[in-house]
Amino acid sequence: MLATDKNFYDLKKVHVVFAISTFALMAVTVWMFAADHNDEWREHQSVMNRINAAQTELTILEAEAAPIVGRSYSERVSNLVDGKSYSDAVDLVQKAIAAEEIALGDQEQELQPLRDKLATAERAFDLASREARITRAERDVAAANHGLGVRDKVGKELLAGLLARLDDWKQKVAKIELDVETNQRDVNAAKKALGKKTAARDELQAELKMLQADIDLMHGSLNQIAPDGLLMSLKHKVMEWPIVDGFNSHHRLANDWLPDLKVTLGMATTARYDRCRSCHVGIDNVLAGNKPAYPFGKADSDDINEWVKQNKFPHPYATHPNPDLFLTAASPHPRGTFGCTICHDGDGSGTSFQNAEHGPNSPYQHEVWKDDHNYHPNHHWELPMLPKRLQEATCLKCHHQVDELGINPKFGNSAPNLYEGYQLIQSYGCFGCHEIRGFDGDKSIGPDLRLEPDYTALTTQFLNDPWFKKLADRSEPFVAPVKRMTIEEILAASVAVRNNPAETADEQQALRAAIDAELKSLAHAVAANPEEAVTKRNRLMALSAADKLFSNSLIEEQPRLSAGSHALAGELKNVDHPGRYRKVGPSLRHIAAKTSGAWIEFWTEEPKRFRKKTRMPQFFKLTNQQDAHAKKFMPVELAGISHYLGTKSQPIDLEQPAAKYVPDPVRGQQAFAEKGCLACHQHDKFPKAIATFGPNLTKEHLKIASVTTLQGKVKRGEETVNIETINPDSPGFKWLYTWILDPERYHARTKMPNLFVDETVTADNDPAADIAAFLLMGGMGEYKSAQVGNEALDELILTYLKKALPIEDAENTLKTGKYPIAKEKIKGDEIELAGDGDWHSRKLSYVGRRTISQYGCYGCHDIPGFERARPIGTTLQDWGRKDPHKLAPEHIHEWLAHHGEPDGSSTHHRVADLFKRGRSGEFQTRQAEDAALSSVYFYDSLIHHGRDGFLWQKLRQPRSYDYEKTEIKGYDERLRMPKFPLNEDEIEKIATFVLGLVADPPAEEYLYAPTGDRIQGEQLLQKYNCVGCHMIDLPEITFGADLDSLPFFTELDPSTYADAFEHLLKVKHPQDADTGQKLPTGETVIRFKGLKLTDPFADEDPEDQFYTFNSWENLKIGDRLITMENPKLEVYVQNLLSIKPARGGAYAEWMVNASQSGGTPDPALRDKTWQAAPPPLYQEGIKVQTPWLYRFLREPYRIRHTTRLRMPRFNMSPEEARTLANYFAAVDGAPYPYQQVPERDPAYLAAKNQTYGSMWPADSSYLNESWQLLNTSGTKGLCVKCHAVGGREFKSTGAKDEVRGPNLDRVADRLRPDWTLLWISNPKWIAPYTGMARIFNPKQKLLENRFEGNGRLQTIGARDALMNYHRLFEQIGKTPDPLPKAKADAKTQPDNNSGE
Amino acid sequence: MLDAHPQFTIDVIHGLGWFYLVVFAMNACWAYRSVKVDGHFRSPDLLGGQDIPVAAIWAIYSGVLMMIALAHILYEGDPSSFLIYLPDFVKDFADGSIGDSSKGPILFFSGSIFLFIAVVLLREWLVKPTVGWLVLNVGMVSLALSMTDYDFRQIVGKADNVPIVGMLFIVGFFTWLYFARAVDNDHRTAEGRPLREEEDNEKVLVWPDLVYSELICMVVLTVGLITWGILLQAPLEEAGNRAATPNPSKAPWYFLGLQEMLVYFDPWLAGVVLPSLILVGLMALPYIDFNPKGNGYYTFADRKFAVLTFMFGFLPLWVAMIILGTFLRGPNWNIFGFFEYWDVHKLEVLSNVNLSEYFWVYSPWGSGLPVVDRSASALSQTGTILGRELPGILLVLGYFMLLPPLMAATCFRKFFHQMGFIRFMVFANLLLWMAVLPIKMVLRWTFSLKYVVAIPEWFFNI
Repeated sequence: MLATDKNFYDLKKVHVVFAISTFALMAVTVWMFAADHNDEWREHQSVMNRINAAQTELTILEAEAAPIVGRSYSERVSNLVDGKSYSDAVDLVQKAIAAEEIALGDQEQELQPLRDKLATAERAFDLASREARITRAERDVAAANHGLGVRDKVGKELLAGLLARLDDWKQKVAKIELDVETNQRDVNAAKKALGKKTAARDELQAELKMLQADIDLMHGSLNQIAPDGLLMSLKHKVMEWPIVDGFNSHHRLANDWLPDLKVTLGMATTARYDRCRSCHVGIDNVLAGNKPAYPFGKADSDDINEWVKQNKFPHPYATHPNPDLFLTAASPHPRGTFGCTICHDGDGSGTSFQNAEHGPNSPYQHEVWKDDHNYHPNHHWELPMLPKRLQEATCLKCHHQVDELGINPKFGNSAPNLYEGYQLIQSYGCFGCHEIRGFDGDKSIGPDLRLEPDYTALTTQFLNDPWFKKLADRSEPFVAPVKRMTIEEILAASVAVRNNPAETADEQQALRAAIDAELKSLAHAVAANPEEAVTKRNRLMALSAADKLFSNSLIEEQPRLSAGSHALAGELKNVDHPGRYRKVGPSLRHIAAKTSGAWIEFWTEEPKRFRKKTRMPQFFKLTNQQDAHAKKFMPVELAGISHYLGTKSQPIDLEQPAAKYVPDPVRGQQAFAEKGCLACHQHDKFPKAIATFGPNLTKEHLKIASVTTLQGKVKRGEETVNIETINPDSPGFKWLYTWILDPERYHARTKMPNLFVDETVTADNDPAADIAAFLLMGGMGEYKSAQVGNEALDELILTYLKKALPIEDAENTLKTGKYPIAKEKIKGDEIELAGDGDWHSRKLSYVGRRTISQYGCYGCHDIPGFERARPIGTTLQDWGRKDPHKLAPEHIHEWLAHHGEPDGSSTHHRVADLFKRGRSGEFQTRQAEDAALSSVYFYDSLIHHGRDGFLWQKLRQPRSYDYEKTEIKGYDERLRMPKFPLNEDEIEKIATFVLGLVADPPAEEYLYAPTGDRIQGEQLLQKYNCVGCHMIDLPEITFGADLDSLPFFTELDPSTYADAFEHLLKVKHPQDADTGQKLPTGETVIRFKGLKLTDPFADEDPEDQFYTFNSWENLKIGDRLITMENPKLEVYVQNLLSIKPARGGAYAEWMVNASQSGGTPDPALRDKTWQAAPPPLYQEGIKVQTPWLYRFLREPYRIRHTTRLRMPRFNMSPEEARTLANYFAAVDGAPYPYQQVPERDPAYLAAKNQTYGSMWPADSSYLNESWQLLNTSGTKGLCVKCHAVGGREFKSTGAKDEVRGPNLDRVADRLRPDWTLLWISNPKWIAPYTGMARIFNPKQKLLENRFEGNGRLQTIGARDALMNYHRLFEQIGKTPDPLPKAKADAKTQPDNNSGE
Repeated sequence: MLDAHPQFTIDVIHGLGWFYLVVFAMNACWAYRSVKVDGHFRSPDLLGGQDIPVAAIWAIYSGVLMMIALAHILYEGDPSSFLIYLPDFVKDFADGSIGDSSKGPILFFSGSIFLFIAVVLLREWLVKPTVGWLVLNVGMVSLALSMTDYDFRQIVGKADNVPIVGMLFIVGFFTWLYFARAVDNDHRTAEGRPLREEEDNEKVLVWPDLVYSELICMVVLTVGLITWGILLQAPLEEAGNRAATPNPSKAPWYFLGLQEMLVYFDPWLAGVVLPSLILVGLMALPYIDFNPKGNGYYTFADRKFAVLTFMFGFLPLWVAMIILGTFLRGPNWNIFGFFEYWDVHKLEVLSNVNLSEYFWVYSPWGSGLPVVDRSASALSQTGTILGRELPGILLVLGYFMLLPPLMAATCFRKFFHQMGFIRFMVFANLLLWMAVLPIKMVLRWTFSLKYVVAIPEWFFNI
């Protein structure tokens, strides 16, 4: 109440103000609710609802339109509706029902009483049932009361009363249940009586229901999504309202809670909570067969019905691509376990486009998003979503081995960009400078790309210790002979000598010699076999330590080995998780033997000037070396490098061909091709052979020094010709000759294999020498060494020295030529300045060493003096999360604005132009746009100081960050990363890899750790370029086939045994060739693996042109088979869809193609060439025994006599050989590493003996008989015709088509029994090109006295004999040859022709 | 796109358009008011010498504003070729002076003092409504023009800083209001008229007048806060991480004055002693104040000393420091111009020197800084340290012990008599403490003085 009538304010006005303010409050409250409710995901869910409704409607329409086939139980109805459309069918059935109803109507009088009867019975049944229910309840109460009475110990009397009551009720129940049963019977009887009359109609009604069931179900689900009725649709709508939607609305946030998949934000680690599916509603919806329910695509219109019709859906409605790989429960990444943000990053908790922290793929997309979603990048969020172009980076979080991403038997190359980036890094050897450490302690944190501990280089340098040199120089041996002592003996002797120095003069001498000898022998052993020599390494270290410790008190004042050598020995220790990579460049340890200093300078200055496609990056003449300073110093640095390398180069023993041998370059060219050089190297003389594993050797002669020529005579065929050739005595020739013969001698860790070229050396044919001559013809190029003035040299040295010495000392050093610190005390590169050799030379060495340190040349090359040097670059294992503030973009913005392109023009302009073109819609496809806008993306990232952009520019122009900085930096402080010959596409791929290195692995159960052999095997295939020669997988041909035209298997060829055929299907399971796709023309798309036999004849009518292929697989199409019985397939040109090239084997293919260059194809020659080429290793796992393969890889020998080159020996550790051997078995799912050979089991043999005992003479046995199969000689002889067997060497008959097969003594260890059986049954089933014939077949009987001439038994017998070869040879030996007298009448007894 | 620092984007242009439209609306209202209040003026004879209503000028001005607003709102072309922006020479001038790390703080601080003095001296003129309105207009238009600069926008437009911009206008308004009322009352007193507060001596009823208006205020404030909450989203940044300190790391805006003190003082002084003294001082004010005038009404003339002292403490020493801390302190706590890019690479010369070094090293009699012998006894170490810092210690002691008697004897004689010894000593000390900040700032700028007393051994620096 008012105190007075007088108020300060006019109350009316105040009321108005109050009213307005409350309305305003009301309004903003509503606004707040609306703003809060206005989530994007609700809209998306509504749209998804409509999509689903539209899809269901469409399905209903389609189902209704589709003709009905076999959807009825009863034949009657089936006949009625089959082939009719749904609505017609319903109509028909309804009509039929109506007709039945009418018919029933006529019998109304009969039916009525039946109906009445049924009604009465049902009523009685109902009543009885109800009563029964109540009575049972009463009984239960009585039972419970009795129980309670027992519990409460109510006394006997009372208890008896309770029990009586219970019994009473039980009886009542029994009675009433009897009633119920009776009534039930009555009802059934009445129903039956009525049913008899109405059976036809009832059946029709049931059918109608069934007919409608599917459609009804769909209508039902449609009603759920988009209700029809007023009330339901109103309820549907109301449930979407604010607040109401909290009560189980169909709009709701979708949560994926991932408690084990933590995310680290700032300091806190917390479980992921992904709500992405709130908007991406259909992301994990798949149809049967893992097909996306909502395939992504851009429909022609914005109309939802149109999307459904075209089956193309935009984001966020589309299903995730590759559902078999992602999101579905059966995939390796089920949604519920992995969520979204572990792969995509971004903010999983965010429920709006902005808050999810999406990452645009290009600035153009950024703009579109800005328009559509008011998007802006949020730099506060640490883990923004990766753009699509870099998406694969996150795979590295869990896939630390990487290879499985690129090569996966099920998913193929599932991360192509990342995988290629990984391969680029491996091939350019980035890890030489940038360590990528995959382990934090024992925990795997990412891919592990590190250099191996280079024990070989360490020990080689160790052997270079002056002490050993002194030993070697001594004309008389120290103490002869040296007594070998074990390390324990040495140590014990040392103690003895120390304790009693005076009396042990002789022992001292002996001990000293023993230590020296042991040191040297250990060092040699370690150098030769670094991976295996663990114990030797430890002993070498112990001895070296002993030298350091005991020498003082022992014999000499000083340890005998230098401090440097002790330090080297210290590095020999075992490392946990040692790196696996070899340095990618060649060793420079003996470079003086190979080339000249001038060439080194020429090459180093700009490698691509000499070899366009070299992987060696460019260190000089880059963007930060364009000033006067750099121009003055660069020649000095180059001269320094070449001087250092030249003077430190260590001597090497070189081989040379036999005296007077005249190498023939022409024959060399032939040998170059035939010895397999082309598998890794290219040469312009063979333009069609493309191989990039090793360098192109066309210009090799230009770089090899000290090569002279001479005139000589060589034999070519029959004639002798005068030629000019290379002098085999010239040092350069000897170097190359030695390198070809024994690459490991020059470079212990080289990947170049030993090709065993020396094996075929004869007096007038030395292929290595010929190849060397071929490569060296033309002689060395002319290169000028830079003239290095003292002034520039001194200036550069002073720059360096000022960092190491006080300025005055530095200047004095230059004046006097004396370094003020003793050599032993210098740790750095200045060691080159100490000593007293030629001052100028010392200065050059110093600059060289300093430059090598500076640029980290030793990251790729083995350089003497740098055995212990560490990589110079920043480590990359967590670069993907590097704080962008720690990057120094310096003046890059200005650089790119004014320069930045190779031609000096502005990158900004180029990028801005691309951006404009992108906006004007110039790029037709998304892919084209993405590719074109790559540089725009990175540029944009760079100017916003993002790490993506930084990396991009660093790889493009590594030194550009020095723009306008060189003026203020010391010359030795400039950036030093070299420029690699990468294009933008490659840069993006490398960036994908590097940005994935986050060293932030999820919980261990998420890490993908495939079992080693398969993955590591893949790495080795690449490491040693096995794929250069061998096809690891055959070409895959896809074509559209009219099924009727295919050569389906119908019946066995009369020359094939049925069980052999079964064996074929067992060993080579038929592959499903039907892709399930169909061409628009109706042909089925078929896929198989095989080799192409012939190309189409160009002369033919285009419509009649066809390819022929050999299928190497048994193929299954539906339930029909195409077998290896008839592996030849003709594919018309117009039907061929694709030929996926073989994996590897380019060299073999080149050989085969080269043989066919004559014009008309020559199938026989083709097969012959295949026999001569490196064999495909397709299904090698089921063929060879793993232990054999291991041994073979370590020490290969000649197997085939048909091949033109033999398997070389790779510089492979035992561990690698084991892995590779296992790999092949693993790929084919064959058991490994050990194989059973049951054919050697006594039980097996006993069984055979028993089964076939009746077939042979009493003195023979199963194995004996089998052995005869192999060993029978003469015209009846089988195997001996082509193979060396049972001690008989192969003897050529000189026949034209004669093929010499492999020696059979190795089969037992080499081949698996099942495979061998198949091979003998029909070799062409395995290798269609083989020269081996099918020996045993039903059509001809051979050796009828063995196994009664049954070819099948003979086949098995031959296999079993081969498997027991050594035992049989031991027991029986060579089958006795025909008697000498028989030799005389050889003509009359042709089957006894000698097999000697 | 492709420009990391776009001066203009189409959104900015449109946003500014709406801002100009508000300024236009305000001025249109003002013009309407002007018609009733301002009357006419006579135009110069050259132009005809007619009587022109003042409102016409405002109307023309409003019209121009409207056109500017429309030009912004309707613009759809290439943002980089939009023509209404703050000219570069203005930016260069501002950045060249304030952004120069050697003289920027001096300029800013002396400028704020100068402005403070100017406001006091020109109060009679400033409190005229038209002048006040003009100042507001200048403020808003220059804010709008400055927003055309990318770097300015980044700082001012940061969601945390928006309230500070608002605060500046509010502080300005209330300062103006105080002076307007005070000047009015001073005039009244001078003319012998009753004070404004006496004239409007209406008693206000608690109900309905007070409670009702409070309720309305509550409702309106809630409306305002909700609207603000919807339109300007909470400025969330990255998750906290002790391994990654943001650069610059800033205290909440209201503490930026304190943070600024950290530049000049050791943390124990700037973070503990000085804030405590501010609180204690504010509490002590009623007991120190002996001037009975000015109770319950606005006045300047009657309480000059009190008003000037308080305002000096509040405006240049607190509010101006907040402005400095918010808008001008960038990465590495360097000073940046309003329009300058906050580049982390900008460096400041770090050449500050302790007083003891001046005394022992740089002076003509300097013999080198006494070195504390770690092996000597604690007493001897203490002696060395105290001896080393003696000049500073003496200076500080002198400042706090000699100055109060001196003040009592000279300029504050009247105060001393009125207050008595204890009250005066409290007052004098508080005053001296307040003066410490500007004194230290000036010493830093003029002599690069780091600490007067520097005893890092005991974590004690002054």
